[in-house]
Amino acid sequence: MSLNYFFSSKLKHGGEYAKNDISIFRSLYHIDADPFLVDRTGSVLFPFSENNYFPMIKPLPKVISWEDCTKERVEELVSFGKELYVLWSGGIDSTLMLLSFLKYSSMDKVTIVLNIDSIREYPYFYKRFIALNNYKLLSTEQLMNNALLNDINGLIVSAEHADQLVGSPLAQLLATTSGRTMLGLSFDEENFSKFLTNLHIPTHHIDPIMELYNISIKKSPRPIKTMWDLCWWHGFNFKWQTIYMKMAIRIKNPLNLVTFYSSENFQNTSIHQEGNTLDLKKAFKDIIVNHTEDTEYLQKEKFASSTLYYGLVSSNGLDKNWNKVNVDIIEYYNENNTIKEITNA
Amino acid sequence: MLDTFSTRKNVTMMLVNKDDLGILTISSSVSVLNALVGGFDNSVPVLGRITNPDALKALRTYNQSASQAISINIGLDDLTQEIDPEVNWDTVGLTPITFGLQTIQEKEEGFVKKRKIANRRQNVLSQIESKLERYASRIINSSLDDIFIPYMSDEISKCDPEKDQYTNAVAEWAVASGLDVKQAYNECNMITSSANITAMRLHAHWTFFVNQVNKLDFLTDGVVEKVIADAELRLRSGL
Repeated sequence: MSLNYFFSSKLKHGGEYAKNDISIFRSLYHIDADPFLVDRTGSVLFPFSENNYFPMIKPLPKVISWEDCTKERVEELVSFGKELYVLWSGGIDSTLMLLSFLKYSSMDKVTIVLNIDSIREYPYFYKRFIALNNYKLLSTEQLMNNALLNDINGLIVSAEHADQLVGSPLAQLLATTSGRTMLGLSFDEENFSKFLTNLHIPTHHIDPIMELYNISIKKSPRPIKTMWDLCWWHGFNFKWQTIYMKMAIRIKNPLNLVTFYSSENFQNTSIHQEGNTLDLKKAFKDIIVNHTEDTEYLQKEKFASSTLYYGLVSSNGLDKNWNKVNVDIIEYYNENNTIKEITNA
Repeated sequence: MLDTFSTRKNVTMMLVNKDDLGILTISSSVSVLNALVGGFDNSVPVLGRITNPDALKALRTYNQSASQAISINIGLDDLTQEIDPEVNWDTVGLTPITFGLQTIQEKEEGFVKKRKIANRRQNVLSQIESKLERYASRIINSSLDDIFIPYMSDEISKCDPEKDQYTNAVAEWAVASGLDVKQAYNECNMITSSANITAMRLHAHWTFFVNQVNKLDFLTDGVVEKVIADAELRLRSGL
């Protein structure tokens, strides 16, 4: 049986697993706090039998703007005819998502899910666009409580996958550890190696990790030319599935969950974008400000830290058949993994 | 926050061995103290007023070394008076009274080890409680929340938005907040359910942590750090 997702505190903090390939895998924690990575191209197999649930898309010839993507996505989700629970944390991604529903839907089938942290994150938006209307509201904690225990009648729409469209958060980590200018430098062995060294990855793990990325990059729908492209690839390819599953694992029927930014058009626009290394979310902020006229919002740097999961009891694994599992990750060890192949070569 | 019903001012909180009135550990939190009772047979939480300067000085460093052994001296503020725990036990309870202290001359077998474990559990639970309070703090919006949240939760439960029925309290809150009554209902419902569910979750986690800590002796290196890190993970992501 393979896994859609697994989180192991023991793997992250302990040294129990002595195998060399697992040791190299553990170095990925320097790159990502939750590195249950899945290669959407299917070229790389990690040591813990992952199921590729979101295969890499093929680029579409017609590329639409980010704003058109939001409209198209709202129309698509509304067309399902189900109640939509739209999660608003007050951050950039969820604000653009909610704003899109306000612009392009009647809100009859929309319940805005928020809590006091959402209001603290963006009070102006709450006061102007939410509080003075009679939209259906539900607290984040209540929604998660309902979804944990029941097969809710409707879809939970989260603002996940926005980061993975624009290279965040790895680009931020790169900017912090190696300087923002590095985002614009060529993606080559020297720069990649320097970045991994700056992340304190052990020297003897750097070559195999670079090789993992190089194998998958050959199948990237976007040429990986710069270090920002590399960050984009990490999120768009390797991290995509984890982003969905870390929420899916916390609800009774994972198929009740959809992410707003995962439509084919969003992904296609992401593949063809220029990218902005100075402000990763500039395009999203511009759409928000065009509507709200809240120009101060352009200065907003902080990305919301969602309180969605605080204290919500969760199992730590989700298998291919959506069963929640609580076992030792080593039970899913896959001997035929790419890291082992690389180190044995 | 978990100490809502206690007044900590000038009161020393102690976990005491019922048999010999030996103080096992000191805590600054009554909820930690009550939690520790579950891990030691024949122990009791004691909140006492201690005024003797020498006694207070001795207690200040009491948790730092398990080899110190002091017992409480019921109803007295005298370090030298003899006591008879069997006779005086009924006067000890959660009501603060004035105590004296005295050094235990002949320690019972295992007392030092018991103290060592009590100190460590006290330390771990205090750290976890601080984390819990940090997570709880996000739902505190006003100094009146202790009254507002239960009251407004009750008022919300009496409303029926489907029939456009709202209580006077919700209606007044609407006027004062510049919202219409339905908007006020939506906002209050969101705030109270968020606070209530968060408090419920944290309370359940606290019970989990207490049971876990009371099963461990923390005499092995690294266990304290692991339990505290796991607690943070559980509070943050439920894992």
